[in-house]
Amino acid sequence: MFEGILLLLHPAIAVITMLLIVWLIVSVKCKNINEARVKKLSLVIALFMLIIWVLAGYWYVIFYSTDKSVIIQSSWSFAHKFFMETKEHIFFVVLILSLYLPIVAFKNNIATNKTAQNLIVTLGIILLTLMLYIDGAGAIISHGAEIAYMHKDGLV
Amino acid sequence: MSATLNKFTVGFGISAAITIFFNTLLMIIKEEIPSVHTFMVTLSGHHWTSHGLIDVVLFLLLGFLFSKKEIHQNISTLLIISTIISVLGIIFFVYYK
Repeated sequence: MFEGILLLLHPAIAVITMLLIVWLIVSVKCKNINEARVKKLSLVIALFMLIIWVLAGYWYVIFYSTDKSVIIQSSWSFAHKFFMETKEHIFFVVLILSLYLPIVAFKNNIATNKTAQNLIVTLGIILLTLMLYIDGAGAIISHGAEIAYMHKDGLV
Repeated sequence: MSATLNKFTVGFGISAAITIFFNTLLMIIKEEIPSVHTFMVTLSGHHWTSHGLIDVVLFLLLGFLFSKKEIHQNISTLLIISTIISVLGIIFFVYYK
């Protein structure tokens, strides 16, 4: 039960974080920028990413090894060998960029600094692109595990 | 309208670009050199945990270091280039491994 909740919780928070990133981009592109909102959003995005790191990391380190051994013996071994291997390392790019977001938001006058505004939009677009890949890779790994267990149990 | 970034933004931006590049490099090194992989396992109990902690510590250290001086750099371009090279590096390395 705990394993399942943990497994579903981290992509759920990731999706919420992606929506917050969209909100951040829209907030920065607004005519009248609400600087307090930009600061709060950037901070919450960084915080959520740290929470995702802890939740996903705990699940990956404690529970994933059992699934991994089943997946790599199945016809869907690429789900681990390619998608998990890339996902787990691309995540750190996302983590670093999201930790950088509050620094940009708090250390510059976002309402008037066009360069800082563009930097936040750039960061947002990079984060969304990579997070969409990570989410997609997660779905492939999940389906790979499902098929691998069905093969193992003789259901396919 | 101001167009210059605060020195902390530039310093940590350069740091982020370097850390992102280092992340790919560390992945290749730990996969290719078993002793590095083993060392990273002994650091925190799992190579992935150590990998993330090393990245975050490096980002903070380099960030404070680069923030000491006024540096003029196009951070957006730097981060786009660094991310593209690093992500493609990860994808190609995993694919051809």
